[in-house]
Amino acid sequence: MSNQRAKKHSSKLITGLLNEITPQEQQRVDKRMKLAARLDEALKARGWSQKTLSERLSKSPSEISKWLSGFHNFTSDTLFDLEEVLGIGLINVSEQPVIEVVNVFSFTVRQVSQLPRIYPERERPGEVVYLTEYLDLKTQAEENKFIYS
Amino acid sequence: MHFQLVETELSGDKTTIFTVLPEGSDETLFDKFIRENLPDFKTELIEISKTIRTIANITGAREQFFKHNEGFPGDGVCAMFDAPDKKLRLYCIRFGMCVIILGGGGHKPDGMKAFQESAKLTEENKIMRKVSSKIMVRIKEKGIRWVDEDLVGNFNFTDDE
Repeated sequence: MSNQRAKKHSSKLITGLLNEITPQEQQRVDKRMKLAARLDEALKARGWSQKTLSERLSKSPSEISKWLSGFHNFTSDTLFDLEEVLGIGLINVSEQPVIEVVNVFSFTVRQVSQLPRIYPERERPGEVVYLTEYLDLKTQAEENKFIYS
Repeated sequence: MHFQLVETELSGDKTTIFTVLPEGSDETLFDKFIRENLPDFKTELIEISKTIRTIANITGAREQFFKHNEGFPGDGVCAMFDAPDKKLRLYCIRFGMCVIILGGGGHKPDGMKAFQESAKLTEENKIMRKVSSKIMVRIKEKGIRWVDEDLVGNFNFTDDE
């Protein structure tokens, strides 16, 4: 009795088609089909047929079949109705705190012994002067001397 | 009908995707389907490829994603189609969630109700019915078995069986 697996067969035509699909396009199909699978699971969990769901929502059985095929582009209202009748969550619209975006700048302060004579009026004998006082922040950012996060 | 079942690169963790390689040919039935429809239905072929990839990697071959009753009762022959216009029919054999065998197919024009109205679709459907009946016999005789949700065994078929 053979325990062999089938031979693998590579195809330039299949590879060519797959190369045309962007990750975003594939993700959209993945999500649509996962949603359809979730609806089917919910029906099974309730012991409902597609006909039962069609009656609960006053829709035709063929429309329910289309919803479960993984190809349907649902409106939000339909999804809200499905959440209600099946008792499952499909869209999360609960209020969530807005995450504050903070820009963090990181740069090195270098002590210099001599003050460039850009602002001679600031020169004070014996005072420690930091070069950063004279740096143009925009120029520094362009030179990637700042780290944004 | 002499043929071999081969595994395609579309296989994933959830579903193994096979196709049919006729004896003496380098072109599988699924490759032939792509070649024949690429000039006029490239977008549709890409849609079908996306669907197969999701089935293979994420959802498994759930019954809801196929059009059933395309073959004899219980032979697993069903059809896939492109979204949203359903211009193409791709015949395949579904064995539960874990295995699909892709065959050929063709254009299903608007207004056509049954595949029997198209000579091309009828022929492609007939081929997959034959393939299915041979696989069923092989599984029954334990020449092909299920191991860890995958098929193993002898994947070469001849007319002598």
